[in-house]
Amino acid sequence: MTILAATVPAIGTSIWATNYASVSPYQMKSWPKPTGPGFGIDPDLSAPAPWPNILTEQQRRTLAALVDIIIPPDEVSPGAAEAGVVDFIDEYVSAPYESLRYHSLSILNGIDWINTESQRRYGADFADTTERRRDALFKDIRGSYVPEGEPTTKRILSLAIPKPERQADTFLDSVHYLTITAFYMTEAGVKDIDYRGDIAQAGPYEGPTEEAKAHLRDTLDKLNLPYPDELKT
Amino acid sequence: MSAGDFDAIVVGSGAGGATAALRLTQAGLKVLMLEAGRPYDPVTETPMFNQHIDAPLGNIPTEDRNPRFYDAIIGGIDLADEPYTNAEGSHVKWLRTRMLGGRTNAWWAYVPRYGPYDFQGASRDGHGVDWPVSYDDIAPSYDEIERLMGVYGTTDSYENEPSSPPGILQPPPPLRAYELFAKAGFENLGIPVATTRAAVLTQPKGDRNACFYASHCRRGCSIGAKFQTTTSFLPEALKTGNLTIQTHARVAEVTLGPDGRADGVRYVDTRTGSFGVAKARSVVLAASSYETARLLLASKSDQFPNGLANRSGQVGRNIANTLNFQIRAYFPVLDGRPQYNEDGTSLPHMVVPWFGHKDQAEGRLDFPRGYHIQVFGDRVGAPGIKTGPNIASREYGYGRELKSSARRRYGSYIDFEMFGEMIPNDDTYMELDPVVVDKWGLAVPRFHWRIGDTERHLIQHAKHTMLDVIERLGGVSAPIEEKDGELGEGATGVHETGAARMGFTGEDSVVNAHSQSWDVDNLVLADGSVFASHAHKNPTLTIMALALRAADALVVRLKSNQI
Repeated sequence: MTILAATVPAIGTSIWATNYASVSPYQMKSWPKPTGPGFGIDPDLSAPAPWPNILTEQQRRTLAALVDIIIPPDEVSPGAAEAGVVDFIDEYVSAPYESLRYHSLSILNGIDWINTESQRRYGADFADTTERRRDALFKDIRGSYVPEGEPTTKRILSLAIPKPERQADTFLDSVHYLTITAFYMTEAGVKDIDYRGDIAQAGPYEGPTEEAKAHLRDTLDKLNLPYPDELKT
Repeated sequence: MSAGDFDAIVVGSGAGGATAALRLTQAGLKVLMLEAGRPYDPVTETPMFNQHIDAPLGNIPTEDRNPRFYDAIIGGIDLADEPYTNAEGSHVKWLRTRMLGGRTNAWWAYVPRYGPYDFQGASRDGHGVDWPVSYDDIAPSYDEIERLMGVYGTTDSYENEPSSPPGILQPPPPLRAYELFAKAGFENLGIPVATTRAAVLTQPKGDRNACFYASHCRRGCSIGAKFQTTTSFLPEALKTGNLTIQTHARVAEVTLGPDGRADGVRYVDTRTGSFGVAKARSVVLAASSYETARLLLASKSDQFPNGLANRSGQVGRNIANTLNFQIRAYFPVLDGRPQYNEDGTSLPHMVVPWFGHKDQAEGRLDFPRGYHIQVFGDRVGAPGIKTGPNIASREYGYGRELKSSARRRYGSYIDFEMFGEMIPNDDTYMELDPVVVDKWGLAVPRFHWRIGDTERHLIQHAKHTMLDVIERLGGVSAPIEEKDGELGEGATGVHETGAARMGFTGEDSVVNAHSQSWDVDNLVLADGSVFASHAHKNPTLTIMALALRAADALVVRLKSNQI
């Protein structure tokens, strides 16, 4: 692990920053200008994004392998790729907005970089190497800036800064952020976390269930807090 | 259009303009309403049940659609055709809507009443000026506007937080689990919690349906449950046959007749760029506080070289906006709490009114005015608003652990948001930019903004209150976001008020207690521009109550031919 980490140019270090500028094929590229009805300050709200997606099939395959490491399939829901996250990121990096350019450039360059690194190590593109090798490479990059293990509360909160101020400063962080953002907006992701709302109902809103209230009483007991009137029986 | 066709021209179709137009037309007067934006029909244009993921980029904010793709906002902060400028060091962000109904289409409809202290601030603490009206003067207008709009809430009152008399309000929705949790924390610190008052129907009213507790108010409401003028006052005013609405009409100036009275407006059709004039017996400006002041300042004549109705020099002065910031907190004790439909209406169902009156009276606080707190849970809202980006901002792991952590913590986050009172000051004002003009050659505002110690101390107090509650509830707070280097300074708010304040005399105010210009007696203002101070409470209900009062006074004067 230590040896490998030393051979990987850690993303976000000055080595990467130097390479970023010199090798970036996307640095000067201008984005396609959209013309469709879903663009501008008064778009057709039923129209899909009017700009063409720019990722190549190879880039999409790399991305699919990567997003499934971040959100793999499990017994509750499919993985990120199956849920449609690659389409979302493709749309994102292809979008004509300056405000998205930072994440977009880091992803476009990063996809190519991770393939180069995979070729160097394993002689195969990232998507074509084994799952074990993909995981190893992923962990090496991630390990360069994030400790292993369950995130601590402190670390969770240090990143809980609202967009757009939260500027991910690395490729992986950009992919990580967009993968989770997209997955939990998809039908699969919303179902995964058991969101129960957005259902039109007749009659009054009912509020918390008895089960939810009972749980709340237990919680307040643990905190040694008196119940508000609504929870008194 | 020729002179005499209309009794009144109303500029703007939002909260204030629609209120004025409704009263005038129902009184049998002919009204021409000019709206700078395009026609807008919530029944056919509201994406009530679109999922966020269906929008380009999953409905995240972009340069074109800010705040969000599906929000009922046609317009934005940066409009290519209508620039504005900031003086060095100022960071005003001015949200403009260019659509029938204005900002009522996207608002969240929180309607607190201003209280007795809010109208008499200067008498109580020496800051700013008093209003020329008291709470008792305005209370009947509050009652009436609430009846017309449809408001839910309870009749419970708190110090300086009056509610409505019995018989007006519809039943409020019950508090959600996370709200009861937060309420226990506030109450344990001796801070009372009130039920929210919102202009959202919980029971049907005329042609409008009751809320069905899905989607989100910010997208607009095709069923008419959330009050927006495009589903209520405007159709009702059109029914009288006395209202003519002209859209795409950006007003350039108010014109003066030979008698020194306003005789109409000059406007530009934003589709063709051609200018036209409209004439009427009176002019009501309800274009939004800053836009109304821009119009007055731009309406220069020999009689009014510094702008129409500006003999006092107060047009563009006294502007204020709501101090605002939020703290997000994670409550591990809520992990894995039972799931249920937590949507309700879009607003929090509870609010923490300002609770420091006693401390202020006894000299224990270093700021004179107040704030209120709202709490937002992360399970509330159409899917996507509080799922995707929120989860992404807090889950830092990956793999199976990430998925189980996201499940466990979904519902364990609460945003505490404070809304504070800013006292108008001499360094915060707007004027016309000496150089920049809009697409049609019209002058645009240049803003100057700063807050003082009264605001900074209030902000710090609010921060500590929220951190205390979070700690008492066993939570951990995230780092607090600072906007443009100053926490919650108000420059970016949407509660713009005060650019043409009302007062006791024409020496130091622009309009009288009935929102009528001191200098031009057939010119009436019906938006937030007339506010003499800016309480921490969301201003729309007060804008509408004052517009109602102003319109009723105008009806009397028009009908008795005083104008």
